[in-house]
Amino acid sequence: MEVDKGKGEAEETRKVAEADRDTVTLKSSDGKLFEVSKEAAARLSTVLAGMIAGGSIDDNGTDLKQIGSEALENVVDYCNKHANSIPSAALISSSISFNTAPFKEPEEWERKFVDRLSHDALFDLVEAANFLGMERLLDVTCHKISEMMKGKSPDQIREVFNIKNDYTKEELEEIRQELAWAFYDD
Amino acid sequence: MELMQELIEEVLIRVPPNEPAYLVRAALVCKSWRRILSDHGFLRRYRAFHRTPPLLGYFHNLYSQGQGPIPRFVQTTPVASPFAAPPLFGCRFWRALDCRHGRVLVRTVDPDYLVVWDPATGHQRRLIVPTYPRAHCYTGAVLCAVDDDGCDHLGCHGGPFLVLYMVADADGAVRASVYSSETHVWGPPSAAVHVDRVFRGDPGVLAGGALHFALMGREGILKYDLGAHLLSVMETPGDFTDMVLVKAEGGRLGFVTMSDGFVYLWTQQQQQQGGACTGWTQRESIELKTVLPTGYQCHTRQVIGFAEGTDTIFINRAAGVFALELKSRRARMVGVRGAYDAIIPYVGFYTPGRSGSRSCS
Repeated sequence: MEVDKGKGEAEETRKVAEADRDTVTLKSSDGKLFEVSKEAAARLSTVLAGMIAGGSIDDNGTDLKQIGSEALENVVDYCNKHANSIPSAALISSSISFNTAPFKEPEEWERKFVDRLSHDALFDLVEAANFLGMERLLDVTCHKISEMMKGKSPDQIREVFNIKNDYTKEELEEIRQELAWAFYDD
Repeated sequence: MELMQELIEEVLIRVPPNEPAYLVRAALVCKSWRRILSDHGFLRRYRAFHRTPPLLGYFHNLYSQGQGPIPRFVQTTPVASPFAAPPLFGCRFWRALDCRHGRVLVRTVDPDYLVVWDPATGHQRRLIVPTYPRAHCYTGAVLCAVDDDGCDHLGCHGGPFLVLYMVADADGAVRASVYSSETHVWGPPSAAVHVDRVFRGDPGVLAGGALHFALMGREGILKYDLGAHLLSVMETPGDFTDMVLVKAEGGRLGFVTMSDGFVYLWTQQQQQQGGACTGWTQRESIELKTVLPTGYQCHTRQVIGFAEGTDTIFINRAAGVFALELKSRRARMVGVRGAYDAIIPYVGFYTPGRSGSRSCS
């Protein structure tokens, strides 16, 4: 029995070694290929974790038809940076402060990561993070976008989000009166 | 490009609650954003996400100072005040007694009423003031009718509430009555308890199913047990003329005093069965000069308030009123100095949804 067991274990190890390339290859909607740390992808994305566990990862490039190459590059960049930053003392200490902090504040490097993105790249990345079930990246990107609303008038916010004003003048006036306290001239 | 609705929600949920103006402006962006911000599910998620309701400001009972009238609500948010001005309540004079669970309790004079005011909706409920013979001084409290086990009190300000009204007569006999918004009536007065000195203007502190009010002088603390409808007097470990009651760690009652440039935090020790207090422990001291800019000592009261749920005390200094967070020891100036006997902090989520029908489940 013991011999059998040892043999079984060796086989298992070999299988794991075969399957266990350190990276997975992802293919964007426009056909570009990106390598990403398997460990980080599985840890940060519930969708990729499911694909890796379910064996639906294609060595020649797993198709992600909903994600363009620029957004996928950012996703991969984020995963790889995250892989390198763990386990960092900063992250451990911040996870403790989560218990008391009302907000999961982005790490310094995460802040820098989203700060350098263009407006369109940031919005594309939010959608990609959402599609891939990347909770932390969604947190960081949405946090950044909510910060972009700070100090802006409704008009300026519409511009940021490319939204048309569908209120009539009368409706706006009515709401303004209802919420009169929030208006001031600045 | 435009974001999908579910992602707009993810963005809006991260708008910080300590600047209510941002959410209001968001509601004016377009109809679908307003729908999101008025949605009960969203508001529940918003409050759960941020967990700790922010300190938005405080009321005080000074009508004028120096040159003339001063606003009765002082905002502590940097951008916009949620209340341009409190309503006048149609009276000659009003006094804020308490603020809790999103409601403000106001006592108006001429005509005499107790008013429960919800600043988020503007809704007011006028109550007849219970009459007591030879009433000498009064105080009161307002709270959600559902206890802490049944309600997180983050969004219950449209729901049922209780009002406690307490009166001391000229001989120092104190009695209390409770009003229920569900039955629309005042309950019978409690048995009287005797105090030598009357209550301060501070709002009460809710801890362990009882409301606590500091008494002037060294007599201590007046306790009203909500379940038992019973008043009692608790002793403090010394003569603290400058004392503000607080809710300390673990929901226990505590108080903060100030002397020789230090803030001291005392908390109640383990309670015996039946709720009797076995004593007090001095937990912590904070040297003021390490947290506040140097300033002259004030002649008026120095510790003037405590905001339940935020662990923040208010200190009146020559330079102004400072809010000091006890846990982080962070202090910031939030208002001008005044001869306040007390301040009544407003803590809560202030969201632009139509919130009239929110209630405790």
